[in-house]
Amino acid sequence: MIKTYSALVRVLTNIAGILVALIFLGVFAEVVGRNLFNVSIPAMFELSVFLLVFTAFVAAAAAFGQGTHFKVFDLAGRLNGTPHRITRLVADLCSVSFLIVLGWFGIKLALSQMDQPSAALKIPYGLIYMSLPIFAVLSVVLLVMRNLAPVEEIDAVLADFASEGE
Amino acid sequence: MIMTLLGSASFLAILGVPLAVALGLAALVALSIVLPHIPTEIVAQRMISSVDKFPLVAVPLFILAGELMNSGGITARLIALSKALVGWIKGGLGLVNVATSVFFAGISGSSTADAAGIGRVLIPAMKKEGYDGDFAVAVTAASSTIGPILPPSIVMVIYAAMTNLSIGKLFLAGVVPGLLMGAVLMALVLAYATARNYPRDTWVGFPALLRTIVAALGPLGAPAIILIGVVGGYFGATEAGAIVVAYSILLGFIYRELSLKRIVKACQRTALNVGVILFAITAASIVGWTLAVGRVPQQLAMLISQYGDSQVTVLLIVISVLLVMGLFLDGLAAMVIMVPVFIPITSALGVDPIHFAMVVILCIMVGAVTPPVGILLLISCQVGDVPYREAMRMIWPFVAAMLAVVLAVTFIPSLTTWLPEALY
Repeated sequence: MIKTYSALVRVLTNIAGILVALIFLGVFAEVVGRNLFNVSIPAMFELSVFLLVFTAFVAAAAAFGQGTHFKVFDLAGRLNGTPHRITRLVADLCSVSFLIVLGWFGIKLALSQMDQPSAALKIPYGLIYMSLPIFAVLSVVLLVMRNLAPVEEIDAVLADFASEGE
Repeated sequence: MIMTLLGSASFLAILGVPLAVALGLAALVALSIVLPHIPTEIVAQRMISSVDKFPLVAVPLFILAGELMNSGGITARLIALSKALVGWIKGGLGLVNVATSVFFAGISGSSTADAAGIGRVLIPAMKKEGYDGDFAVAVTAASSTIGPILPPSIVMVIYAAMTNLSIGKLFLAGVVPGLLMGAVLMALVLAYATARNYPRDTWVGFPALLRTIVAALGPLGAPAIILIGVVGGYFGATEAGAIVVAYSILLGFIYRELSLKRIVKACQRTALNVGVILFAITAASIVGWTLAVGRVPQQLAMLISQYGDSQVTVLLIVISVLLVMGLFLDGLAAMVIMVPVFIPITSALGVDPIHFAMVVILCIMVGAVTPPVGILLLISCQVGDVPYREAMRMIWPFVAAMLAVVLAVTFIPSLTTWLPEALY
Protein backbone atom coordinates (compact mmCIF):
# COMPACT_ATOMS: atom_id res chain seq x y z
CA MET A 1 0.00 0.00 0.00
CA ILE A 2 2.65 2.49 1.07
CA LYS A 3 4.78 1.74 -2.01
CA THR A 4 1.81 2.25 -4.31
CA TYR A 5 0.94 5.50 -2.52
CA SER A 6 4.50 6.79 -2.82
CA ALA A 7 4.73 5.73 -6.48
CA LEU A 8 1.41 7.38 -7.37
CA VAL A 9 2.46 10.65 -5.73
CA ARG A 10 5.79 10.56 -7.57
CA VAL A 11 4.08 9.86 -10.91
CA LEU A 12 1.70 12.80 -10.39
CA THR A 13 4.57 15.08 -9.35
CA ASN A 14 6.54 14.05 -12.44
CA ILE A 15 3.57 14.61 -14.76
CA ALA A 16 2.97 18.05 -13.24
CA GLY A 17 6.68 18.87 -13.61
CA ILE A 18 6.58 17.84 -17.28
CA LEU A 19 3.51 20.03 -17.81
CA VAL A 20 5.38 23.01 -16.32
CA ALA A 21 8.29 22.33 -18.68
CA LEU A 22 5.87 22.16 -21.63
CA ILE A 23 4.32 25.49 -20.63
CA PHE A 24 7.78 27.07 -20.58
CA LEU A 25 8.81 25.53 -23.90
CA GLY A 26 5.56 26.56 -25.57
CA VAL A 27 5.59 30.18 -24.40
CA PHE A 28 9.32 30.53 -25.06
CA ALA A 29 8.99 29.09 -28.57
CA GLU A 30 6.16 31.53 -29.25
CA VAL A 31 8.06 34.61 -28.06
CA VAL A 32 11.27 33.60 -29.88
CA GLY A 33 9.36 32.68 -33.04
CA ARG A 34 7.40 35.91 -33.09
CA ASN A 35 10.23 38.30 -32.23
CA LEU A 36 13.13 36.69 -34.10
CA PHE A 37 11.54 34.86 -37.04
CA ASN A 38 8.22 36.66 -37.36
CA VAL A 39 6.46 33.30 -37.03
CA SER A 40 3.67 32.78 -34.52
CA ILE A 41 2.72 29.32 -33.28
CA PRO A 42 -1.02 28.89 -33.87
CA ALA A 43 -3.12 28.49 -30.74
CA MET A 44 -0.11 28.74 -28.42
CA PHE A 45 -1.98 31.03 -25.99
CA GLU A 46 -4.88 28.61 -25.78
CA LEU A 47 -2.63 25.58 -25.43
CA SER A 48 -0.59 27.14 -22.61
CA VAL A 49 -3.77 28.00 -20.71
CA PHE A 50 -5.08 24.44 -21.09
CA LEU A 51 -1.71 23.10 -19.92
CA LEU A 52 -1.90 25.43 -16.92
CA VAL A 53 -5.35 24.12 -15.96
CA PHE A 54 -4.12 20.52 -16.09
CA THR A 55 -0.90 21.43 -14.26
CA ALA A 56 -2.92 23.11 -11.51
CA PHE A 57 -5.16 20.12 -10.89
CA VAL A 58 -2.58 17.33 -11.33
CA ALA A 59 -0.17 19.22 -9.06
CA ALA A 60 -2.94 19.92 -6.54
CA ALA A 61 -3.57 16.16 -6.35
CA ALA A 62 0.19 15.56 -5.90
CA ALA A 63 0.19 18.23 -3.18
CA PHE A 64 -2.55 16.28 -1.37
CA GLY A 65 -0.28 13.24 -1.55
CA GLN A 66 2.74 15.18 -0.29
CA GLY A 67 0.71 17.02 2.34
CA THR A 68 1.88 20.43 1.13
CA HIS A 69 -1.41 22.32 0.81
CA PHE A 70 -1.64 25.52 2.92
CA LYS A 71 -2.91 24.76 6.41
CA VAL A 72 -3.86 27.35 9.00
CA PHE A 73 -3.38 24.94 11.86
CA ASP A 74 -2.30 21.31 12.06
CA LEU A 75 -4.28 19.90 14.97
CA ALA A 76 -3.40 16.31 14.07
CA GLY A 77 0.28 17.16 14.00
CA ARG A 78 0.07 18.35 17.61
CA LEU A 79 -1.44 15.11 18.85
CA ASN A 80 -0.03 11.63 19.27
CA GLY A 81 -1.36 8.08 19.02
CA THR A 82 -5.07 7.47 18.56
CA PRO A 83 -6.16 11.15 18.84
CA HIS A 84 -3.63 11.96 16.07
CA ARG A 85 -5.08 9.28 13.81
CA ILE A 86 -8.73 10.16 14.55
CA THR A 87 -8.18 13.90 14.01
CA ARG A 88 -6.42 13.28 10.73
CA LEU A 89 -9.15 10.87 9.67
CA VAL A 90 -11.86 13.47 10.38
CA ALA A 91 -9.91 16.20 8.57
CA ASP A 92 -9.33 13.91 5.59
CA LEU A 93 -13.02 12.89 5.57
CA CYS A 94 -13.92 16.59 5.23
CA SER A 95 -11.47 16.86 2.32
CA VAL A 96 -12.84 13.69 0.72
CA SER A 97 -16.44 14.91 0.95
CA PHE A 98 -15.49 18.24 -0.66
CA LEU A 99 -13.56 16.46 -3.39
CA ILE A 100 -16.45 14.08 -4.11
CA VAL A 101 -18.77 17.07 -4.54
CA LEU A 102 -16.22 18.75 -6.81
CA GLY A 103 -15.80 15.59 -8.81
CA TRP A 104 -19.55 15.29 -9.29
CA PHE A 105 -19.89 18.97 -10.27
CA GLY A 106 -16.92 18.60 -12.61
CA ILE A 107 -18.28 15.51 -14.38
CA LYS A 108 -21.63 17.20 -14.97
CA LEU A 109 -19.88 20.27 -16.37
CA ALA A 110 -17.48 18.25 -18.54
CA LEU A 111 -20.25 16.12 -20.04
CA SER A 112 -22.36 19.19 -20.79
CA GLN A 113 -19.46 20.83 -22.67
CA MET A 114 -18.26 17.92 -24.82
CA ASP A 115 -19.81 19.46 -27.94
CA GLN A 116 -18.29 22.91 -27.32
CA PRO A 117 -14.97 23.19 -29.25
CA SER A 118 -12.31 25.65 -28.17
CA ALA A 119 -11.72 28.66 -30.42
CA ALA A 120 -8.28 27.81 -31.81
CA LEU A 121 -7.46 24.16 -31.14
CA LYS A 122 -11.05 22.92 -31.60
CA ILE A 123 -10.62 20.68 -28.54
CA PRO A 124 -13.95 20.03 -26.77
CA TYR A 125 -14.07 22.14 -23.60
CA GLY A 126 -15.43 19.07 -21.88
CA LEU A 127 -11.98 17.46 -22.12
CA ILE A 128 -10.37 20.44 -20.41
CA TYR A 129 -13.06 20.45 -17.73
CA MET A 130 -12.37 16.75 -17.09
CA SER A 131 -9.25 17.92 -15.25
CA LEU A 132 -11.46 18.78 -12.27
CA PRO A 133 -13.03 15.31 -11.76
CA ILE A 134 -9.70 13.62 -12.54
CA PHE A 135 -8.08 15.73 -9.81
CA ALA A 136 -10.91 14.93 -7.42
CA VAL A 137 -10.69 11.16 -7.99
CA LEU A 138 -6.88 11.07 -7.69
CA SER A 139 -6.95 13.14 -4.50
CA VAL A 140 -9.66 10.96 -2.95
CA VAL A 141 -7.69 7.81 -3.80
CA LEU A 142 -4.57 9.27 -2.18
CA LEU A 143 -6.43 10.40 0.94
CA VAL A 144 -8.11 7.00 1.34
CA MET A 145 -4.79 5.18 0.88
CA ARG A 146 -3.17 7.50 3.41
CA ASN A 147 -5.73 6.62 6.03
CA LEU A 148 -5.57 2.89 5.36
CA ALA A 149 -1.79 2.73 5.71
CA PRO A 150 0.01 2.57 9.08
CA VAL A 151 0.50 6.07 10.54
CA GLU A 152 4.26 5.64 11.10
CA GLU A 153 4.86 4.58 7.50
CA ILE A 154 2.81 7.45 6.07
CA ASP A 155 4.56 9.96 8.34
CA ALA A 156 7.92 8.60 7.14
CA VAL A 157 6.87 8.92 3.47
CA LEU A 158 5.61 12.49 4.01
CA ALA A 159 8.91 13.36 5.76
CA ASP A 160 10.77 11.92 2.74
CA PHE A 161 8.77 14.10 0.36
CA ALA A 162 9.41 17.16 2.54
CA SER A 163 13.16 16.56 2.61
CA GLU A 164 13.24 15.99 -1.16
CA GLY A 165 11.44 19.29 -1.67
CA GLU A 166 14.07 21.29 0.25
CA MET B 1 -24.85 33.26 5.72
CA ILE B 2 -21.61 35.04 6.61
CA MET B 3 -21.62 33.49 10.06
CA THR B 4 -22.06 30.04 8.51
CA LEU B 5 -19.24 30.71 6.07
CA LEU B 6 -16.84 32.10 8.67
CA GLY B 7 -17.82 29.60 11.36
CA SER B 8 -17.48 26.50 9.23
CA ALA B 9 -14.28 27.73 7.52
CA SER B 10 -12.70 28.49 10.92
CA PHE B 11 -13.76 25.12 12.36
CA LEU B 12 -12.39 23.22 9.37
CA ALA B 13 -9.16 25.22 9.32
CA ILE B 14 -8.53 24.58 13.02
CA LEU B 15 -9.26 20.91 12.50
CA GLY B 16 -6.30 20.83 10.14
CA VAL B 17 -8.15 20.67 6.81
CA PRO B 18 -6.18 22.36 3.97
CA LEU B 19 -7.16 26.01 3.66
CA ALA B 20 -8.51 25.63 0.12
CA VAL B 21 -10.78 22.77 1.19
CA ALA B 22 -11.90 24.65 4.31
CA LEU B 23 -12.83 27.68 2.20
CA GLY B 24 -14.49 25.68 -0.56
CA LEU B 25 -16.48 23.41 1.73
CA ALA B 26 -17.60 26.32 3.93
CA ALA B 27 -18.63 28.25 0.83
CA LEU B 28 -20.69 25.31 -0.45
CA VAL B 29 -22.42 25.00 2.95
CA ALA B 30 -23.17 28.74 2.98
CA LEU B 31 -24.27 28.63 -0.66
CA SER B 32 -26.73 25.87 0.10
CA ILE B 33 -28.44 28.26 2.55
CA VAL B 34 -28.82 31.03 -0.04
CA LEU B 35 -29.56 28.71 -2.95
CA PRO B 36 -31.21 25.43 -1.86
CA HIS B 37 -30.57 23.99 -5.34
CA ILE B 38 -26.91 24.76 -5.97
CA PRO B 39 -26.21 25.26 -9.68
CA THR B 40 -23.49 22.61 -9.73
CA GLU B 41 -22.18 23.31 -13.22
CA ILE B 42 -21.81 27.02 -12.49
CA VAL B 43 -19.75 26.28 -9.38
CA ALA B 44 -17.42 23.99 -11.36
CA GLN B 45 -17.18 26.47 -14.21
CA ARG B 46 -16.38 29.31 -11.78
CA MET B 47 -13.58 27.23 -10.31
CA ILE B 48 -11.97 26.43 -13.63
CA SER B 49 -12.48 29.87 -15.11
CA SER B 50 -10.66 31.37 -12.13
CA VAL B 51 -7.45 29.71 -13.37
CA ASP B 52 -7.85 29.39 -17.14
CA LYS B 53 -6.45 32.87 -17.82
CA PHE B 54 -3.41 33.53 -19.97
CA PRO B 55 -1.82 36.05 -17.54
CA LEU B 56 -1.78 33.30 -14.89
CA VAL B 57 0.56 31.26 -17.11
CA ALA B 58 3.20 33.68 -15.79
CA VAL B 59 2.80 32.19 -12.29
CA PRO B 60 4.61 28.87 -12.97
CA LEU B 61 7.18 30.66 -15.11
CA PHE B 62 8.23 33.17 -12.44
CA ILE B 63 8.24 30.46 -9.75
CA LEU B 64 10.41 28.29 -12.02
CA ALA B 65 12.77 31.24 -12.58
CA GLY B 66 13.18 31.57 -8.80
CA GLU B 67 13.83 27.85 -8.39
CA LEU B 68 16.40 27.86 -11.19
CA MET B 69 18.14 30.88 -9.69
CA ASN B 70 18.55 28.99 -6.44
CA SER B 71 19.77 25.84 -8.22
CA GLY B 72 21.96 27.53 -10.80
CA GLY B 73 24.30 29.58 -8.65
CA ILE B 74 22.60 32.91 -9.38
CA THR B 75 21.51 33.43 -5.76
CA ALA B 76 25.08 32.75 -4.58
CA ARG B 77 26.41 35.46 -6.91
CA LEU B 78 23.80 37.95 -5.73
CA ILE B 79 24.77 37.23 -2.13
CA ALA B 80 28.46 37.74 -3.01
CA LEU B 81 27.62 41.08 -4.63
CA SER B 82 25.57 42.21 -1.61
CA LYS B 83 28.40 41.18 0.71
CA ALA B 84 30.90 43.26 -1.21
CA LEU B 85 28.52 46.23 -1.29
CA VAL B 86 27.19 46.36 2.29
CA GLY B 87 28.86 43.53 4.22
CA TRP B 88 31.48 45.88 5.70
CA ILE B 89 28.82 47.95 7.51
CA LYS B 90 27.86 47.02 11.08
CA GLY B 91 25.38 44.14 10.97
CA GLY B 92 26.72 43.41 7.50
CA LEU B 93 25.13 40.01 6.95
CA GLY B 94 21.70 41.36 7.96
CA LEU B 95 22.08 44.13 5.39
CA VAL B 96 23.35 41.58 2.85
CA ASN B 97 20.16 39.60 3.47
CA VAL B 98 17.96 42.60 2.59
CA ALA B 99 20.13 43.73 -0.35
CA THR B 100 20.13 40.22 -1.85
CA SER B 101 16.34 40.14 -1.60
CA VAL B 102 16.17 43.40 -3.55
CA PHE B 103 18.40 41.99 -6.32
CA PHE B 104 16.57 38.64 -6.23
CA ALA B 105 13.22 40.43 -6.46
CA GLY B 106 14.24 41.94 -9.76
CA ILE B 107 14.47 38.50 -11.32
CA SER B 108 12.02 36.27 -9.47
CA GLY B 109 8.46 37.17 -8.56
CA SER B 110 8.24 34.62 -5.79
CA SER B 111 8.65 35.52 -2.11
CA THR B 112 8.75 31.85 -1.08
CA ALA B 113 11.65 31.13 -3.47
CA ASP B 114 13.38 34.21 -2.01
CA ALA B 115 12.86 33.11 1.62
CA ALA B 116 13.90 29.53 0.94
CA GLY B 117 16.82 30.31 -1.40
CA ILE B 118 18.41 33.18 0.48
CA GLY B 119 17.45 31.90 3.94
CA ARG B 120 19.09 28.53 3.32
CA VAL B 121 22.45 30.25 2.77
CA LEU B 122 22.31 33.36 4.93
CA ILE B 123 20.50 32.23 8.12
CA PRO B 124 23.12 29.57 8.98
CA ALA B 125 25.88 32.04 8.02
CA MET B 126 24.39 34.74 10.26
CA LYS B 127 24.01 32.33 13.17
CA LYS B 128 27.62 31.22 12.71
CA GLU B 129 28.81 34.82 12.94
CA GLY B 130 26.97 35.40 16.21
CA TYR B 131 23.62 36.83 15.08
CA ASP B 132 20.60 35.64 17.08
CA GLY B 133 18.71 32.92 15.20
CA ASP B 134 15.32 34.62 15.63
CA PHE B 135 16.77 37.87 14.24
CA ALA B 136 18.24 36.09 11.21
CA VAL B 137 14.89 34.44 10.51
CA ALA B 138 12.93 37.67 10.97
CA VAL B 139 15.23 39.60 8.59
CA THR B 140 14.96 36.84 5.98
CA ALA B 141 11.16 36.62 6.21
CA ALA B 142 10.62 40.40 6.17
CA SER B 143 13.04 41.05 3.31
CA SER B 144 11.58 38.24 1.19
CA THR B 145 8.34 40.26 1.02
CA ILE B 146 10.19 42.61 -1.35
CA GLY B 147 10.05 39.85 -4.01
CA PRO B 148 6.40 40.40 -4.99
CA ILE B 149 6.59 44.19 -4.53
CA LEU B 150 9.42 44.81 -6.99
CA PRO B 151 8.78 43.64 -10.56
CA PRO B 152 8.32 40.94 -11.73
CA SER B 153 5.71 39.74 -9.28
CA ILE B 154 3.46 36.70 -9.19
CA VAL B 155 1.04 38.51 -6.87
CA MET B 156 0.79 41.40 -9.35
CA VAL B 157 0.15 38.98 -12.20
CA ILE B 158 -2.73 37.40 -10.26
CA TYR B 159 -4.09 40.80 -9.21
CA ALA B 160 -3.96 42.06 -12.80
CA ALA B 161 -5.70 38.91 -14.04
CA MET B 162 -8.48 39.45 -11.49
CA THR B 163 -9.01 43.14 -12.19
CA ASN B 164 -7.96 43.57 -15.83
CA LEU B 165 -5.32 46.11 -14.84
CA SER B 166 -2.19 46.56 -16.96
CA ILE B 167 0.54 44.26 -15.66
CA GLY B 168 3.19 46.61 -17.05
CA LYS B 169 1.77 49.55 -15.07
CA LEU B 170 1.54 47.43 -11.92
CA PHE B 171 5.15 46.30 -12.33
CA LEU B 172 6.29 49.92 -12.56
CA ALA B 173 4.10 50.95 -9.61
CA GLY B 174 5.98 48.49 -7.40
CA VAL B 175 9.46 49.90 -8.03
CA VAL B 176 9.41 52.81 -5.51
CA PRO B 177 7.53 50.96 -2.70
CA GLY B 178 9.86 47.96 -3.14
CA LEU B 179 13.00 50.07 -2.87
CA LEU B 180 11.44 52.00 0.04
CA MET B 181 10.71 48.72 1.82
CA GLY B 182 14.34 47.66 1.30
CA ALA B 183 15.63 50.96 2.70
CA VAL B 184 13.35 50.84 5.76
CA LEU B 185 14.28 47.23 6.56
CA MET B 186 17.99 48.07 6.17
CA ALA B 187 17.59 50.97 8.61
CA LEU B 188 15.97 48.65 11.14
CA VAL B 189 18.71 46.03 10.72
CA LEU B 190 21.32 48.73 11.23
CA ALA B 191 19.59 49.90 14.43
CA TYR B 192 19.49 46.34 15.82
CA ALA B 193 23.10 45.72 14.75
CA THR B 194 24.24 48.81 16.64
CA ALA B 195 22.21 47.95 19.76
CA ARG B 196 23.29 44.29 19.81
CA ASN B 197 26.83 44.87 18.54
CA TYR B 198 26.52 42.51 15.60
CA PRO B 199 29.73 41.96 13.60
CA ARG B 200 30.80 43.38 10.25
CA ASP B 201 32.91 42.01 7.41
CA THR B 202 36.12 43.66 6.30
CA TRP B 203 35.96 45.99 3.30
CA VAL B 204 36.95 43.99 0.24
CA GLY B 205 38.46 46.90 -1.66
CA PHE B 206 37.47 48.35 -5.01
CA PRO B 207 39.16 45.76 -7.27
CA ALA B 208 37.34 42.90 -5.48
CA LEU B 209 34.07 44.87 -5.53
CA LEU B 210 34.47 45.38 -9.26
CA ARG B 211 35.09 41.64 -9.76
CA THR B 212 31.90 40.70 -7.85
CA ILE B 213 29.90 43.26 -9.82
CA VAL B 214 31.21 41.78 -13.08
CA ALA B 215 30.41 38.26 -11.81
CA ALA B 216 26.84 39.36 -11.01
CA LEU B 217 26.27 41.24 -14.26
CA GLY B 218 24.46 38.25 -15.75
CA PRO B 219 21.82 37.98 -13.01
CA LEU B 220 21.49 41.78 -12.84
CA GLY B 221 20.66 41.86 -16.54
CA ALA B 222 17.40 39.98 -15.98
CA PRO B 223 15.41 42.86 -14.39
CA ALA B 224 16.48 45.10 -17.25
CA ILE B 225 15.29 42.53 -19.81
CA ILE B 226 11.92 42.23 -18.06
CA LEU B 227 11.26 45.94 -17.62
CA ILE B 228 12.46 46.97 -21.07
CA GLY B 229 10.55 44.10 -22.69
CA VAL B 230 7.26 44.56 -20.85
CA VAL B 231 7.21 48.37 -20.65
CA GLY B 232 8.56 48.68 -24.18
CA GLY B 233 5.77 46.44 -25.45
CA TYR B 234 8.10 43.81 -26.95
CA PHE B 235 6.46 41.02 -24.93
CA GLY B 236 3.89 40.53 -22.19
CA ALA B 237 4.48 39.57 -18.55
CA THR B 238 3.84 35.91 -19.28
CA GLU B 239 6.37 35.86 -22.10
CA ALA B 240 8.80 37.76 -19.86
CA GLY B 241 8.48 34.84 -17.44
CA ALA B 242 9.55 32.39 -20.16
CA ILE B 243 12.46 34.61 -21.16
CA VAL B 244 13.69 34.86 -17.54
CA VAL B 245 13.44 31.06 -17.20
CA ALA B 246 15.52 30.62 -20.37
CA TYR B 247 17.96 33.26 -19.14
CA SER B 248 18.28 31.52 -15.73
CA ILE B 249 18.96 28.17 -17.45
CA LEU B 250 21.57 29.81 -19.69
CA LEU B 251 23.32 31.45 -16.71
CA GLY B 252 23.14 28.20 -14.73
CA PHE B 253 24.94 26.34 -17.53
CA ILE B 254 27.48 29.14 -18.01
CA TYR B 255 28.24 29.00 -14.28
CA ARG B 256 28.38 25.18 -14.57
CA GLU B 257 26.06 24.80 -11.59
CA LEU B 258 22.89 23.64 -13.34
CA SER B 259 22.31 20.07 -14.44
CA LEU B 260 19.36 18.39 -16.14
CA LYS B 261 18.55 16.69 -12.84
CA ARG B 262 18.34 20.05 -11.07
CA ILE B 263 16.12 21.46 -13.82
CA VAL B 264 13.76 18.47 -13.44
CA LYS B 265 13.69 19.00 -9.66
CA ALA B 266 12.99 22.71 -10.14
CA CYS B 267 10.08 21.89 -12.49
CA GLN B 268 8.61 19.47 -9.92
CA ARG B 269 8.90 21.95 -7.06
CA THR B 270 7.37 24.64 -9.27
CA ALA B 271 4.47 22.37 -10.17
CA LEU B 272 3.71 21.63 -6.52
CA ASN B 273 3.74 25.35 -5.70
CA VAL B 274 1.47 26.04 -8.66
CA GLY B 275 -0.94 23.30 -7.55
CA VAL B 276 -1.15 24.73 -4.04
CA ILE B 277 -1.56 28.36 -5.17
CA LEU B 278 -4.05 27.76 -7.98
CA PHE B 279 -6.14 25.31 -5.97
CA ALA B 280 -6.44 28.01 -3.29
CA ILE B 281 -7.53 30.46 -5.99
CA THR B 282 -10.17 28.06 -7.34
CA ALA B 283 -11.55 27.53 -3.82
CA ALA B 284 -11.51 31.26 -3.12
CA SER B 285 -13.45 31.79 -6.34
CA ILE B 286 -16.35 29.80 -4.84
CA VAL B 287 -16.15 31.97 -1.73
CA GLY B 288 -16.20 35.09 -3.88
CA TRP B 289 -19.20 33.87 -5.84
CA THR B 290 -21.03 32.81 -2.66
CA LEU B 291 -20.46 36.28 -1.18
CA ALA B 292 -21.71 37.86 -4.41
CA VAL B 293 -24.82 35.67 -4.45
CA GLY B 294 -25.48 36.66 -0.83
CA ARG B 295 -25.00 40.34 -1.77
CA VAL B 296 -22.28 40.64 0.85
CA PRO B 297 -20.14 43.17 -1.12
CA GLN B 298 -23.09 45.55 -1.26
CA GLN B 299 -23.76 45.13 2.47
CA LEU B 300 -20.08 45.62 3.25
CA ALA B 301 -19.98 48.70 1.02
CA MET B 302 -22.93 50.17 2.94
CA LEU B 303 -21.25 49.35 6.24
CA ILE B 304 -17.96 50.94 5.20
CA SER B 305 -19.70 54.03 3.84
CA GLN B 306 -21.35 54.50 7.25
CA TYR B 307 -17.92 54.83 8.85
CA GLY B 308 -16.21 56.90 6.24
CA ASP B 309 -16.78 58.47 2.89
CA SER B 310 -13.26 59.72 2.23
CA GLN B 311 -10.61 57.85 0.29
CA VAL B 312 -8.21 57.75 3.24
CA THR B 313 -10.79 56.42 5.71
CA VAL B 314 -11.87 53.68 3.34
CA LEU B 315 -8.26 52.77 2.55
CA LEU B 316 -7.52 52.56 6.29
CA ILE B 317 -10.53 50.26 6.73
CA VAL B 318 -9.32 48.12 3.81
CA ILE B 319 -5.83 47.96 5.34
CA SER B 320 -7.26 46.95 8.74
CA VAL B 321 -9.41 44.21 7.20
CA LEU B 322 -6.53 42.82 5.13
CA LEU B 323 -4.11 42.91 8.07
CA VAL B 324 -6.54 41.08 10.34
CA MET B 325 -7.22 38.52 7.59
CA GLY B 326 -3.46 38.23 7.04
CA LEU B 327 -3.08 37.02 10.62
CA PHE B 328 -5.04 33.88 9.85
CA LEU B 329 -5.16 33.48 6.08
CA ASP B 330 -2.61 33.12 3.35
CA GLY B 331 -2.25 36.60 1.83
CA LEU B 332 -3.03 35.44 -1.68
CA ALA B 333 -6.27 33.84 -0.50
CA ALA B 334 -7.19 37.04 1.37
CA MET B 335 -6.52 39.05 -1.76
CA VAL B 336 -8.55 36.77 -4.00
CA ILE B 337 -11.49 36.86 -1.58
CA MET B 338 -11.52 40.55 -0.70
CA VAL B 339 -10.39 42.44 -3.81
CA PRO B 340 -13.66 41.84 -5.71
CA VAL B 341 -15.48 43.14 -2.61
CA PHE B 342 -13.33 46.27 -2.22
CA ILE B 343 -12.92 47.33 -5.85
CA PRO B 344 -16.48 48.70 -6.34
CA ILE B 345 -16.20 50.72 -3.11
CA THR B 346 -12.81 52.27 -3.86
CA SER B 347 -13.70 52.89 -7.51
CA ALA B 348 -16.81 54.80 -6.44
CA LEU B 349 -14.62 57.01 -4.26
CA GLY B 350 -12.19 57.65 -7.11
CA VAL B 351 -9.19 55.79 -5.68
CA ASP B 352 -6.60 55.22 -8.40
CA PRO B 353 -6.75 51.48 -9.20
CA ILE B 354 -2.95 51.18 -9.46
CA HIS B 355 -2.53 52.93 -6.11
CA PHE B 356 -5.17 50.69 -4.54
CA ALA B 357 -3.52 47.58 -6.00
CA MET B 358 -0.20 48.49 -4.40
CA VAL B 359 -1.84 49.15 -1.01
CA VAL B 360 -3.48 45.70 -1.19
CA ILE B 361 -0.27 43.97 -2.31
CA LEU B 362 1.76 45.62 0.47
CA CYS B 363 -0.87 44.60 3.05
CA ILE B 364 -0.89 40.98 1.97
CA MET B 365 2.90 40.92 2.10
CA VAL B 366 2.71 42.12 5.70
CA GLY B 367 0.20 39.31 6.25
CA ALA B 368 2.71 36.82 4.84
CA VAL B 369 5.00 37.37 7.83
CA THR B 370 2.51 37.98 10.65
CA PRO B 371 1.87 35.08 13.04
CA PRO B 372 0.10 32.82 13.60
CA VAL B 373 -0.10 32.13 9.84
CA GLY B 374 2.95 33.82 8.37
CA ILE B 375 3.97 31.60 5.48
CA LEU B 376 7.28 33.38 4.88
CA LEU B 377 8.15 33.29 8.57
CA LEU B 378 7.34 29.56 8.60
CA ILE B 379 9.58 28.89 5.60
CA SER B 380 12.42 30.96 7.08
CA CYS B 381 12.14 29.09 10.40
CA GLN B 382 12.17 25.79 8.53
CA VAL B 383 15.26 26.53 6.44
CA GLY B 384 17.02 28.27 9.33
CA ASP B 385 16.21 25.59 11.91
CA VAL B 386 14.82 28.15 14.37
CA PRO B 387 11.69 27.42 16.48
CA TYR B 388 8.64 29.29 15.16
CA ARG B 389 7.75 30.46 18.68
CA GLU B 390 11.04 32.38 18.98
CA ALA B 391 10.75 33.99 15.56
CA MET B 392 7.13 35.01 16.29
CA ARG B 393 8.38 37.46 18.92
CA MET B 394 11.19 38.93 16.81
CA ILE B 395 9.09 39.58 13.73
CA TRP B 396 6.94 42.37 15.26
CA PRO B 397 9.48 45.24 14.94
CA PHE B 398 9.82 44.26 11.27
CA VAL B 399 6.04 44.19 10.88
CA ALA B 400 5.94 47.72 12.36
CA ALA B 401 8.55 48.90 9.84
CA MET B 402 6.60 47.33 6.98
CA LEU B 403 3.40 48.98 8.21
CA ALA B 404 5.17 52.33 8.07
CA VAL B 405 5.78 51.68 4.36
CA VAL B 406 2.14 50.66 3.88
CA LEU B 407 0.99 53.92 5.46
CA ALA B 408 3.48 55.98 3.45
CA VAL B 409 2.19 54.45 0.22
CA THR B 410 -1.42 54.95 1.36
CA PHE B 411 -1.01 58.63 2.18
CA ILE B 412 1.33 59.47 -0.70
CA PRO B 413 -0.25 57.91 -3.82
CA SER B 414 2.41 59.40 -6.07
CA LEU B 415 4.91 56.90 -4.64
CA THR B 416 3.12 54.30 -6.73
CA THR B 417 1.59 56.31 -9.56
CA TRP B 418 4.34 58.64 -10.81
CA LEU B 419 6.51 56.00 -12.48
CA PRO B 420 3.68 54.33 -14.46
CA GLU B 421 2.38 57.79 -15.40
CA ALA B 422 5.83 58.92 -16.46
CA LEU B 423 6.59 55.87 -18.62
CA TYR B 424 3.15 54.96 -20.03
